Amino acid sequence: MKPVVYKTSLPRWSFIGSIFCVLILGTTLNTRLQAAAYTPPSDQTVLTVLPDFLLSHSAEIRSFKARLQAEPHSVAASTGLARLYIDLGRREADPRYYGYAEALLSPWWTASQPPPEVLLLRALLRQHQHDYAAALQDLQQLVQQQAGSSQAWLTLAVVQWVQGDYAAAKQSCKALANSSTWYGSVCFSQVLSFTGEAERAYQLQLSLLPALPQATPELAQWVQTNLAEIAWRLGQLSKAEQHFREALAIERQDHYLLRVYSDFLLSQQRSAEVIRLLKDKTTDDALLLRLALASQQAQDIEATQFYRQQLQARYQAAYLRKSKLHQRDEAWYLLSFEENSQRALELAQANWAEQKEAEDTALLLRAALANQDFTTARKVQMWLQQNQQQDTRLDGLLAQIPKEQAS
Amino acid sequence: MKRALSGIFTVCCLLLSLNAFAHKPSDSYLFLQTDSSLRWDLALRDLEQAIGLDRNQDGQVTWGEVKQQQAAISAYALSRLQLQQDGQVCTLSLQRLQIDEHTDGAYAVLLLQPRCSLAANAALNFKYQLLFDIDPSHRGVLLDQRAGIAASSMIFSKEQPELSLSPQQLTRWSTLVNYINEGIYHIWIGLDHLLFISLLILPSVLVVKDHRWQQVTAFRPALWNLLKVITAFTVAHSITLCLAVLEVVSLPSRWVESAIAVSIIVLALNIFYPVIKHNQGWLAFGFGLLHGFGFASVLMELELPQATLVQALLGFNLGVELGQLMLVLLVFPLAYLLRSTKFYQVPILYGSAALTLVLASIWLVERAFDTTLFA
Repeated sequence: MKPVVYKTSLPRWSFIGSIFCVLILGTTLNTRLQAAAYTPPSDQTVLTVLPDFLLSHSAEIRSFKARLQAEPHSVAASTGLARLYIDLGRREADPRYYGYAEALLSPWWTASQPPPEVLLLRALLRQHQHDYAAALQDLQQLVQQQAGSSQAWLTLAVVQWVQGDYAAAKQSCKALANSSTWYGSVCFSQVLSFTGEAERAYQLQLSLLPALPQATPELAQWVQTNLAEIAWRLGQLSKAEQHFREALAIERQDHYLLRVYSDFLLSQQRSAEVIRLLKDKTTDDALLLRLALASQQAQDIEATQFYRQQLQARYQAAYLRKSKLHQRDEAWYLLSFEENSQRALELAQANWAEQKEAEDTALLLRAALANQDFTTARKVQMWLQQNQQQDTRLDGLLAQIPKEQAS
Repeated sequence: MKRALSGIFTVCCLLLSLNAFAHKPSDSYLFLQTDSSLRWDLALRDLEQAIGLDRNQDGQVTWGEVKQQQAAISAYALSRLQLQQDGQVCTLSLQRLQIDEHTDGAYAVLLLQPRCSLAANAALNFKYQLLFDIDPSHRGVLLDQRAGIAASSMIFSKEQPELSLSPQQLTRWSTLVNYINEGIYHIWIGLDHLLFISLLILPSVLVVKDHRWQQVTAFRPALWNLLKVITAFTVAHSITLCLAVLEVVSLPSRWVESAIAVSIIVLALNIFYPVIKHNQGWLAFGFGLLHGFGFASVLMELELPQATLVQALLGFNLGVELGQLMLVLLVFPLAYLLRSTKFYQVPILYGSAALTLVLASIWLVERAFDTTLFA
């Protein structure tokens, strides 16, 4: 080594080199150390917090279990407990509770003529598993047995309009109106809102609000959410905002509402509000995705990176168990964050083959345009026109489709 | 240190653990690890449903409650997993219960000791019956990591509760890659080796003149010098590592571990009172011979594949060297940048030397007298 002469210039490559090395190190350590098992520091360390619902309903659950012990094939006890678990699965967005419900119905899971109550719950579970054909079959069978069951008709109508079968959904809503005018009207107006009569649907649902009993906040929340969505699709943003706020003011957590409202805020570049709304709701993959999008919009690189890593880990875990239930979310994720959107298009197509809610349609259109797949984009456009579906949010996307050249 | 780590190092990058839970159905993860042990991760919420963990009914599952139920957890899980090797039943026993976080919350980690060898050349048959009775959507994910870091995965389901693994051929390439990873990993978790290397790097941007540390003038020669020193260290520990693994030379581990602590003390003292000013390469070479025996004890716990021993040894050595180079490239540019400041000489150089001196002295006493000073 030579004697000391002060010298400040540092070769630039050493900076680049060190950054590069930090990256390499970061990934190496991440992949090896993070999932290392550990021994918690103290006996008091809390590892898992169980849902409140389990505690508050523990007496009920115990009594159902005791009845099942005495009589394992009791329809009332099996369906009673299964209903509780389905409710819990919805609230917590935790599919394992749907699994518990399925196990309770296992004596009748493959039966061709199960009791009506079993049939309804089995249809709900099959719908949750995206097994729409089997769910529809169960529901058709159920309404034949119990033409006066509001719940059966409404569930049937929902499955039908989610699949884009609006004609069948209208029929189901009409049948529902025979047993309940109120439910029948909400149902019918929902279908109208997808088939060219969104303004009428909006007025109809608005008129249904005063008829609601005080004790049914979940119904008021449902209608307010519908109104907000219809107004948003019609481009009436201040009305939509107002209905979203009224729905949120109702003391009841609903993940679907949070998801749609977040999308509404994101479309208006109001990322800070989304972050405030969803910060502690990362349990739900769909909400986590909105949080990642909001962080990206807010240009918070660190947070975006953090949420993206979490999302990727969850999609990976889903792949490990060969689950397809997340394909809508993952398509949207890929479209928003990854350059290569070919896979996003494949997922969006597979998803649209199963369900055709406004969100699914918008997703497929975006993915098709990102891939310059105008054939698919035109197919979506045709479908929208056929159903006279009104959605001003898609106007900008549809305008990107080049006019087909006459051959 | 090594025993504690041997059970946990095989980890799949697919299962990056993050502190949140997700919209994910119930899964359990069964890892077939490179050291022929089994690791089984079961979600605490599933165990709560299956056998009940929350004894005091307060809605929280604590580590104490999990430990209380250890026997029940083990009995429940092991009664639902059958393993056969080449047609013979292979019993499993719980060696240790720990905790890990997956994407959807905390899991109990069962480290299982099989009564048979799970080596890659054996035909294995698994029969898995966990949780299907209470949750038909449950899946068991079997991750076979014996052949390398990139695990292959298979799924147990209610419809397919049995899986067979035919004997697999460990390829030379996968062994090499696997052991390069092991090498990098072990240099990064081996605090004593890391400190030793750091004490070689920190003074490398300075030179002793008039009995004082002064800064070097140019980047390249200083880095080049350092790389020579580090390589001398690697060459030396490669030699003894090979000799020890091939059982040509064998030294008592207590002696080796103590001597490694001494080597760190010597380097730290040399920063305060620079005696060895040039030719640090020879010093590194000498101590490298020692550290090689230390690495060997780690490597021998991994049950080296006899068929691909050469690849394993080469890979491990390459990995250690790579790990060291990463540290050099990480620290050296920073050290070079800061070398002219007062901050570098006093708090960084002398500070870390002093800290290391204390730490290595504690190790020396602990290792030489086989005691624990700080529990």
